[in-house]
Amino acid sequence: MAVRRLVAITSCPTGIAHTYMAAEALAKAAADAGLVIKVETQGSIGAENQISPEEAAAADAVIISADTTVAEDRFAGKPIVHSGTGEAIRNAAGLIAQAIALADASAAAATPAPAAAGAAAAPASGTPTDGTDYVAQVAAAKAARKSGQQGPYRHLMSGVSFMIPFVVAGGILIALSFAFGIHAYEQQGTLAAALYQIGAQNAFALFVPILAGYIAFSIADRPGLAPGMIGGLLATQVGAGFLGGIIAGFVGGYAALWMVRNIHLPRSLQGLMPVLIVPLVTSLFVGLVMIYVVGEPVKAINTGLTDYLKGMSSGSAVVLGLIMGLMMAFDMGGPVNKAAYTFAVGLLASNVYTPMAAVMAAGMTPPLGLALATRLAPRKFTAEEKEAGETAWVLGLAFITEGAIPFAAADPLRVIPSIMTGSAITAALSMAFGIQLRAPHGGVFVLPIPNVINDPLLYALCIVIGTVVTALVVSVIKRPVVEEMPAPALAEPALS
Amino acid sequence: MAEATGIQDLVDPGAIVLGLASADRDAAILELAGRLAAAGRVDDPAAVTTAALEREALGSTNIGLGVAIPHAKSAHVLQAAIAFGRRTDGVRWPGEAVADAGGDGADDEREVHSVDLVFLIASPEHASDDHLRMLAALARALMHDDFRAALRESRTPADVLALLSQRLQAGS
Repeated sequence: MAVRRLVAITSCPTGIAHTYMAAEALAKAAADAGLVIKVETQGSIGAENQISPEEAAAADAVIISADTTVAEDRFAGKPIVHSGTGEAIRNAAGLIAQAIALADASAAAATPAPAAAGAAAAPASGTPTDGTDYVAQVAAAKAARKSGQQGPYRHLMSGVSFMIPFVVAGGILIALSFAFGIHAYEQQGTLAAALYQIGAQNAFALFVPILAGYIAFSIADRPGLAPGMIGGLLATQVGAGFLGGIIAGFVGGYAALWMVRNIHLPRSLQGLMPVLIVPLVTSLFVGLVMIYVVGEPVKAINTGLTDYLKGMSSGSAVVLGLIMGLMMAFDMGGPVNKAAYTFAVGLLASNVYTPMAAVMAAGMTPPLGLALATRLAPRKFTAEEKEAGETAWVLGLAFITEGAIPFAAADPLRVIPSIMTGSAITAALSMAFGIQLRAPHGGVFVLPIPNVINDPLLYALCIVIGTVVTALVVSVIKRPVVEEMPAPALAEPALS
Repeated sequence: MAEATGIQDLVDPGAIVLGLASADRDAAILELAGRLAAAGRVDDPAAVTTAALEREALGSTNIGLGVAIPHAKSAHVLQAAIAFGRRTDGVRWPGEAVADAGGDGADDEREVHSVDLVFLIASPEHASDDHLRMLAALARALMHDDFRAALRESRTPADVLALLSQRLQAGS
């Protein structure tokens, strides 16, 4: 088989030293192994030794050793080995072996019979020692295990970090509009109305699409963005909330990744892949999934739960409170949450006020409890989450449950059960005390208004208890954060 | 034009210390920064040290071959400069080497915790491309065993200067 051709890109945050050390190490290791490699350095001098489209097309495998984000679209369909610059400096030979193993595997997949023979012959002819093959296998296995553990989680975190500014900006603007009086935003033309329009109708309309879009972007790079965001917007429209958005992000991202890797068109049509074919097909696919596979059950869940709650309303108040509390915290804006909220709001018209109080309290404790938890157990939250925790206080007090979503989306299996526990206890207490609330929203802003709530102090106590319970449960079951890389803050003094 | 930027533009003989006194990272950086100050390239060695340590906090510059390349970008650097320090008994360099414990031999232990060659790279807020290329060439040269061995065997600052001059001018 012909000599393997590799291309590589090295890059570090400010591009003074590590970019070049990694490049040199890779070039040296490739030369030692008798391979052809071209290493593009993306350093502070700009890109040097650039890989041309022809060279990219001719490469058997790609190595990207970067501590920064490197655009990979020109290598679509090629096997790619990723590492930091540090690993390239220390273990360039291992990365080269890994890239060759991937190149062999993809060649074998493309043309099964001859390549199998080639792979068998390779250790004897192409590489200096028999050990190389084993090293490559170990390295590949390690890489697979690593990405298996961290892949989906990393995509989720990526989506969440793009979403947080939308939640924070939108939530605080809504809270500000409530500060003018909880009904102030209903008056057209007022500042309160403008704040509410910016926050609720725009910032909050964007955050689920952003979450979904950047989950997909993290998975598939640029081709993932369109199906992800479109799927995310559909998730909100079918009422599937942020959990639906997470589904959209993963479906859109993996669909785009699959297409880019597996659909090989004749060369003349290849130019159409990124601009026409991939976005069209993946958006259609994710859209149909959201409407028919996710949307239909969501509707059924919503109506089913609403009927169930209606049936419950004649039974035990405390049990009803528990259930509404669990529902409020389960999906924050999804079908389950909405069923509980609309149920309670609907009862206001029949002059039944206790479920409204329970529901609002249960919607306040998730952000409040998480905000408290970032203080109680700072090691279990990322720097970003801790900052989001500060605003979560404000959002929680204003009954903007969405303040909890960044935390829940980042670690749903641990955070959602925790906030459900706190919300259930709060709502059950509120029902047990018979607290009545006559306003459908507003959080603490309603408390000073006469006659809206029958016992503000006792109500506050319910919320405090739920907040503390949420915080304690989260603090216990969440795992400490292991920061994967030095925080993306590219501090000014950093070179290379 | 290219000849105008020689190694002497970046390295002063006075900033080549073949017997570093400091046995730990912070002191070694300060010691080398002090030499740069004496050579008139830095006006505040403490500030330059702080900048280098901030960079270390983002990830150790111990590159794992007995070499550390602390670097500082600071307004207190008057002129781009490299200081070189060698300490045969090793300088303790806290934090892990850049590579994750990716899995090579056990003899890495010593390298992770101690280095014997230290290049302090001081750069003003806006370095010229020529200087950046020189630093890139140094970074590349450090990947070669023979270059590191020659640094370890140099007897005088003049030897080091000659070695740097030869290796950094030759490579582009």
